[in-house]
Amino acid sequence: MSILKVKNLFKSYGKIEVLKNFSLDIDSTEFVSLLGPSGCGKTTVLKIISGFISPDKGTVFIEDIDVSNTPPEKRNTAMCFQSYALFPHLTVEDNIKFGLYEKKIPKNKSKDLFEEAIEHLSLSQELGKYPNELSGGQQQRVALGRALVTRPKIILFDEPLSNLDAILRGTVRNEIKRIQSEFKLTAIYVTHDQSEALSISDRVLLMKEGEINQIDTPEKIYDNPISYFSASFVGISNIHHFKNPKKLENNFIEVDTNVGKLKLFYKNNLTDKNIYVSWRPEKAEVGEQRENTLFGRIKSIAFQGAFTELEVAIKNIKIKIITQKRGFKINEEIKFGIKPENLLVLEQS
Amino acid sequence: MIAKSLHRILFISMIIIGVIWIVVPFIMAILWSLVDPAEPWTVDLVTPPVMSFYRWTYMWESSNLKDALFNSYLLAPTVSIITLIFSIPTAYVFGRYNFVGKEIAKLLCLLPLVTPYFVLSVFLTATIISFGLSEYRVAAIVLAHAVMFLPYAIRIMTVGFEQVSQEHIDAARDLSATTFSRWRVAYFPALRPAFFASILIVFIQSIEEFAVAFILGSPTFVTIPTLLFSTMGQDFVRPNAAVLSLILVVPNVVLMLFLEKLLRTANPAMISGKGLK
Ligand SMILES: Nc1ncnc2c1ncn2[C@@H]1O[C@H](COP(=O)(O)OP(=O)(O)OP(=O)(O)O)[C@@H](O)[C@H]1O
Ligand SMILES: [Mg+2]
Repeated sequence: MSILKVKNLFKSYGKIEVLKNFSLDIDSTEFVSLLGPSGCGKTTVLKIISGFISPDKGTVFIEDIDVSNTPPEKRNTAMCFQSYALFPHLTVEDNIKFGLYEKKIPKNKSKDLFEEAIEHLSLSQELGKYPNELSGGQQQRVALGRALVTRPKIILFDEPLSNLDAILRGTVRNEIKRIQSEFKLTAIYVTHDQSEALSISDRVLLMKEGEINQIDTPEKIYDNPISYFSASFVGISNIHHFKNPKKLENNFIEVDTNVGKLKLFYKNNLTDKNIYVSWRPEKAEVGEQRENTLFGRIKSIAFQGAFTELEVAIKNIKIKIITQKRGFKINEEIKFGIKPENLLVLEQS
Repeated sequence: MIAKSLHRILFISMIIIGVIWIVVPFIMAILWSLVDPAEPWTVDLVTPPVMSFYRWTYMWESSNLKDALFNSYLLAPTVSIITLIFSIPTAYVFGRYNFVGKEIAKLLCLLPLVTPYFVLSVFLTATIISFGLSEYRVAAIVLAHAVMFLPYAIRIMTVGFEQVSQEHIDAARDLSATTFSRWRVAYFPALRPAFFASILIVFIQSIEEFAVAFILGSPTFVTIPTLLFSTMGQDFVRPNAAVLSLILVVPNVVLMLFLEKLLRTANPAMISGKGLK
């Protein structure tokens, strides 16, 4: 069931177009990440959904009700801020109870909600403390507790982990995911960290310059990037510009690239926008292959334990390969190949 | 090495300046206030030959000191509070909104600082008399002080409003806070240091102000500075002046130390709500 619909949002600041025809439809209990480079409009989307910014054009529906003109205090959304924005002179308990009190939830009901939140977030030891007496991870949990204790329809996260160190980030990320599924929350999660987005989401919305570039499950985003941007922004890809596509039989085509001729499998019709072919480094198979065999010289070797990363130069073009094989030498000539079905055709955008 | 010795030089000069500017005058004032009328303190003596509290009791009983104290300590707090309240709307706009010409508007707000106080007070006296409002001369002093010291309050409160975190305001709104709650959790904690600083500055300015209090208030309304100047003007008795200036200054120092302590408890981590330990 759709809980949030955002239709055709436009937003500009002066001459800068921040959002260009942005639409989105999210189901109840879904976890959707907004992933994109800095300045692409992620925070703007969240602020429009929560009501802090009104779009120039477009509508926001929560449970099929048009809330475009509803102020933030009347919308049933809750925001988790990047800096947590805990009220510094209120204790943990008062911070968490703030929303219960302001929303005038009856005493006995709010008591149950509060206790449930405390238990799920393991905050019972910290209730009397002030925010500046807590660790970063604890502050994050309090912020989460404050946002979810009133059971909002939608919870919005704006880069909630960016103030934590790398180790804590992993733990808190898993906690957010656990709590989201335990409380059956619908979540929109803004991040510019791709591994965060891939690991935590039901769907990833990849944004570029105020537009949706691709929206898909994490696996599909990784395995089937549709654009130059998604192939290069999520994970590592080798991307080649191609020319002179020739149709072969059984939906194979052959193209000219700067590393030589490549044969690939592509069912759809090529358009003018399809000008790149890409492949993931781990799809390369070292050794002579039946098709698409390439020659290159090893320029760098980085052994990573489970796998080895190679940088290979074909003429002057650098290519990345990830392989389980070992025993490479710098400047050694190697052969490797990519199966036609592992070569992807990308759009220019 | 250089930084260290520079640090030392600065520290020592600070001590020397502090002694010349604060400690010496203070000690001199205290000594002068203790001079007994029986024996004058002549230049050849390091300390007064006979010391007593005669001057203190004398000033307390014979002059208008009681009235002056009462008036001054009624005037200064009233002015500080009124000035603070007057400054809030302007400071709110300066601190929370961006608009074209904001910097010019800020400068214009400082204009009263360059108007000579004598001009202002002569103008106000003329106005009061021509409107037949002489009974309201105390209110006029309060008003004049508020106008004169408003620039300080506005400047300080503007900085205070700039310190309020938009995320705290947004977080409160997001949790359906009423306007009052929004002020309680987002504005007041961040504004607290500015409140105190503004009250302190205006209080001290008002309690030490002479021109307006003298021109508008005399002869019926005495404050400590007007009493001080008239004591000095008529027949200058140094020990009496010393008593008055100590009375004028000591409460200010106490107040400053007290507010300084309050300000220190408002630490930045408490304001931002961030700050990892
Ligand atoms: N109040 C504003 N006035 C003018 N421009 C703004 C304003 N708010 C945002 N912008 C601009 O809108 C664009 C999108 O901003 P937004 O905050 O949505 O980016 P973001 O994707 O959240 O970036 P980040 O990852 O850095 O947080 C940016 O170019 C920003 O400079
Ligand atoms: Mg942002």
